[in-house]
Amino acid sequence: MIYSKGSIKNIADSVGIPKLKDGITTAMAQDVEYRLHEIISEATKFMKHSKRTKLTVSDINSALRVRNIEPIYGFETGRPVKFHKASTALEDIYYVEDEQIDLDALLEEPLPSVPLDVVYTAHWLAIEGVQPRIQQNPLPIDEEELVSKKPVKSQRQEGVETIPLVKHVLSRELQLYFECITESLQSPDPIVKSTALESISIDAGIHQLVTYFVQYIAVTVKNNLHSLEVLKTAMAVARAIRRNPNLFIEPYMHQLIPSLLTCLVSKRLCESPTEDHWSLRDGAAQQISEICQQFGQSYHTLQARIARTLLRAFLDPTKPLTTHYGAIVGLTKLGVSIIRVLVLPNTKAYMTLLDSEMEKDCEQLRDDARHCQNALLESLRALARDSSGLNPANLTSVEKSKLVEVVGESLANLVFKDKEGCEIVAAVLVVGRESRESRELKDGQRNSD
Amino acid sequence: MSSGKRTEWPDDSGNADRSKQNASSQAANSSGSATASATGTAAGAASKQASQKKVEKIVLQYLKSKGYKDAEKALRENANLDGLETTLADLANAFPGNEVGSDASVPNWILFYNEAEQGNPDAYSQSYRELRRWIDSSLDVYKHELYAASYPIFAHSYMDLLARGLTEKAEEFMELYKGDHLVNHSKDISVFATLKTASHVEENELAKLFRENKYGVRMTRVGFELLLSFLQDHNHTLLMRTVNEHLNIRTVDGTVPVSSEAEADVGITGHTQNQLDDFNSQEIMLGSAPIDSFVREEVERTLQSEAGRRIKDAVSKEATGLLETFSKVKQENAANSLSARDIIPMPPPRGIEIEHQIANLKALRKRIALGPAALPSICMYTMHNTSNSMNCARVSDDLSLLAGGFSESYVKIWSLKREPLRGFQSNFHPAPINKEEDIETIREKTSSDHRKLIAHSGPVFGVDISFDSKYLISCSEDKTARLWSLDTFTNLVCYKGHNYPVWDVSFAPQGFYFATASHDRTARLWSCDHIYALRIFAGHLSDVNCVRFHPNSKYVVTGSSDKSVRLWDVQRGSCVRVFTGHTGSVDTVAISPDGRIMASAGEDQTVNVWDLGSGRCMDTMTGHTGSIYSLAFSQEGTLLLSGSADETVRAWDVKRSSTASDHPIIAQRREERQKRAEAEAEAEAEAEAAAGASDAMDVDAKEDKPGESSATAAGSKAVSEKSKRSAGVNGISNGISESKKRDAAGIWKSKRVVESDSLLKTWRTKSTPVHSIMMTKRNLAVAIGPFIP
Repeated sequence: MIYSKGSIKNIADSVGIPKLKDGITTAMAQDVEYRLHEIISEATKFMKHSKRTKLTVSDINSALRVRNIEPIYGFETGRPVKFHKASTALEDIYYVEDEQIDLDALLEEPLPSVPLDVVYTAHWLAIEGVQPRIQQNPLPIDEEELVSKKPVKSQRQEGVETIPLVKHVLSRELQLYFECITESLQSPDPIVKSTALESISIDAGIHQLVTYFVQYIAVTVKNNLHSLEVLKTAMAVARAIRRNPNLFIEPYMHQLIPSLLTCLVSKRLCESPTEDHWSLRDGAAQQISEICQQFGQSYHTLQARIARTLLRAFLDPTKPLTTHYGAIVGLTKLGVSIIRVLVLPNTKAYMTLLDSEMEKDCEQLRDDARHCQNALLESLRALARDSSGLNPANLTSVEKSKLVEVVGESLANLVFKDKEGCEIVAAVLVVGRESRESRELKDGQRNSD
Repeated sequence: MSSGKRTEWPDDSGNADRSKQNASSQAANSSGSATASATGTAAGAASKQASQKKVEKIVLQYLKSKGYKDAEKALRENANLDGLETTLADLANAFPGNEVGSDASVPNWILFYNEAEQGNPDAYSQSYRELRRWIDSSLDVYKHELYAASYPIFAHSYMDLLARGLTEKAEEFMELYKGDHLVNHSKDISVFATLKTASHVEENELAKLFRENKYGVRMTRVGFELLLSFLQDHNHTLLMRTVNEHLNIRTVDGTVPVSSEAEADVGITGHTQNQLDDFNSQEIMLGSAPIDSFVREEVERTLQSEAGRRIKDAVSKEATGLLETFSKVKQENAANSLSARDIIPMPPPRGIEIEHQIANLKALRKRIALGPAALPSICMYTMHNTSNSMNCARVSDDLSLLAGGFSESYVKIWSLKREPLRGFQSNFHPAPINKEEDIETIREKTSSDHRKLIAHSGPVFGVDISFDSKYLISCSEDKTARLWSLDTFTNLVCYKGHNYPVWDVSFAPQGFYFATASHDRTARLWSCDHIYALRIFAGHLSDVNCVRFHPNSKYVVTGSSDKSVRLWDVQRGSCVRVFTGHTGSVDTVAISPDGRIMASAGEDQTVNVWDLGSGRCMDTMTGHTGSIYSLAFSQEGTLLLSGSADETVRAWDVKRSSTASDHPIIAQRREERQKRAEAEAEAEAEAEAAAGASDAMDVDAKEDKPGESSATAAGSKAVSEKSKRSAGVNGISNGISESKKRDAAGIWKSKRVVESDSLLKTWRTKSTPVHSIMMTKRNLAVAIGPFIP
């Protein structure tokens, strides 16, 4: 019963009927309940004809009016009624808060803005039966979402408390796919692994999983900083999702780049320092450069920001040589102009650092330094390859002294031993001359001012 | 199959309770032995005498309470009941098992004693339980028809209990057995459950329907005889009486299809069987309206003059083409049109009809053929900032105007061509106006492309625009309909006649006439030039929710909350067809442009397609998950579009070949579909039953029937129902919390929808319920709905 006998009695008391007989209260309670139902079902008709799915106060008032009953004034608002809860000893009571309004304050308030006028917009819901993918129509993903709701619901129905891996959008199939792929990636069998990677790089229907793969890469890199094999796999996954032509990867770039940078410049990426972490760094650098090329158009600051990060690593003498290596490789891959502007001017200073490291009596350090040297040499080679139109310089001592001026003693030696030495020297000297000229130009300008 | 988990039929009272019942019935039997000694079982003479005394006491008490002093005195003397001053409390003690409840009065007791059946308050419950048990154990072939027949028996038993003031018994009865019928009659049952006293039964709309009308049921001859003999053999006189008084059983040969709900004579129609047969065998003329001879000649003359122009340009070429089309149309029209005598009188044609006819011809030539393989383009008009206040919307046939009716009592119209809507200045001098061009000079200077029409004093529930986009008609909660001119944007006429809110209004295809549907259970026909209704279509048992004209204007179709659709003859004002089969109120109807087929839909989320000629249901289409607001046929009538509260527009295949609804292939397909649906429902119910059974105390494995695992198609429904029911019963035995859970499960189940195979395509909108959908003459679909953020 909605109204207990007690409340009927209370109401009777309040209107001045002190002692109500038991039979009457029961009958009243029953009748009141029935009348309420009657009014509500009448009001439902008004709701239905207004094509709404929520009953409003105005519906109730319309129903009362139809029944020739005075409507209840003072509750009709456009806003939905909010019920507040009050807990009592026996049961919770819900009530509508009746705010006190200060009339003076109300009068002083500025007038509320005029409500927006009803307007219409037109769009194609279907063109010859096909729903166009425009902003006004729901995305097909929404449909998948609707479909995927079902199995989750049925699980709950069975009483099995499964909290699905992904709370909202992922269908059961995709969840299974994701699990399967991540398991295969950990398998020692290279065939299984490569098949999984291939699947990621080809499959068309896994767009919803991109964010999970990005997440997977980030977590894997973070947790396995010292296991080279796992890191390599993570990089392979990153490459695979980038290569998949069906995936729209752009929004996830900012999440992916930190992982790649970690693999590029991290201090230690393997258990024992003798492992070949260099190739991992090379791969990461390659990926970063690809990303910069691909999205440089839409994100102008992307390359600049990455370059700045790498340069900072390159120029910080407190950082280990492994980090320096990564930075050099990364900068090299970013393009010739970066080499010209950021690498070459700093080479001499860096080489002095490297020379001092070389002199230290530690096999590991010397090895690392050699890698750094090679990286620098490689960057010079890239420079040379770019400016191939130049006449190869003669390897004379004049040239050499000029070169030493730019890149330092030890690197100059290496360059001279290199079989592309002539081209490198020419390219470096051109750059040096250009920069000098521009400097002079600037100085000249300053002087004339 | 879950036979292992199925439980015994509900034994609603425990053992102690049963012994009480035995005792009470014994007492009852012996006391009433004068009238029905045959039913009396062995009872000792002594106890007989004792109980005789009790009866006399009761009678005495009754007479006393009623104030029949003489009779009381006479009884006292005759029966030698000296000094017996019994009180009500004594009386209650005198009868073992105070089933009556404390608030049952003595007259109730007397009432029961006068029953042919030696009734006790549990008589209904007991008999109904036995009936259910019997139905369940009967042959699969008859099960579903017996179940169908058990629903009205259930309803009347409940109301009888209430009518006798046994509210608690009635509630108990409802709680126990409502699970049987929730699948098909959940709406009714929720209404029944609100009834609490005898007076409610007398005044409730639905209860009155059940009490005053007979409930139609279809049964096979054998099934009917089985039922009768069961009731007779077991002396279920109460039920027998219900069957006799309130059921209208029609015996049919052969088998009754499982979905017999869709037949015209099932449920309450307000008519006896014979009347219905008469209705649906009345001849109706579905041909198209003939083209007026004046219009025909004028159209031909216009086209010929254009075609015969000297300069052969695009216009004349088009006119030649149109002329050809027109001759085709004329032929078709002549072949199946009505004679001029049969059509409703129309005012003499003005120029506008000729233009309209030519426009139609052009549209016909440009029409895109639609069908299951060629779906239409849909243009969606989304309304913004309505804040739930838009009740209805409509686009004019020529797609120039969009009109919406609002809760704030106004109608708003927009020009879809974004042209300014200019009325006339209120003060102007008529003198300088001599030519047509002069009229334009006195138009308002506004440049706004939308206008509000204000005059109603309540929410506007329906709008319609005439075929020539010159007039708009609106109806409102203020009990009136209003005619507006779309030239001056002013109110022309206010039509008063309905006594209650008017739900819907619709113009006739040729204009001039319009029809309204109202809360007062009538639909009315009006002509624009009369302020009173020309015809009142009365016969619906509840609100009339929607009204549409037949394309030849000779008939009107109405849909109602009484779950039926009716076809009315405009001239005679009488009902010529009744279509029943919906399980919820009917909110929208549509008729195919050729006038042969009608579709109806509403709250029950299904679309029914009817053949108007035979009155048969051609197809039942399910798939929507919200109530359906609007329907529209393509111009060929092969495709049906529906717009719904579930924010979708769906296209349905109207299978024209299936005009004979009892065609074996159709029936077979339907059965298969049904089977599929049932199989799903069954699996679900079983899972539920299993869940219920695991913690139920009264699992009875003896009920296992191995044969049932191979149940036939017809029986599978019954089986699934049974397992559902047993699940429900377990719920009750485990207390209220369990039954609540089951209710929730029931709601969830009712939300699951099996998509029927005639569903061709679903288009989703972005949180926009589709209020209205229509088809233009060129087969472009237009949908309107408010965006609800």
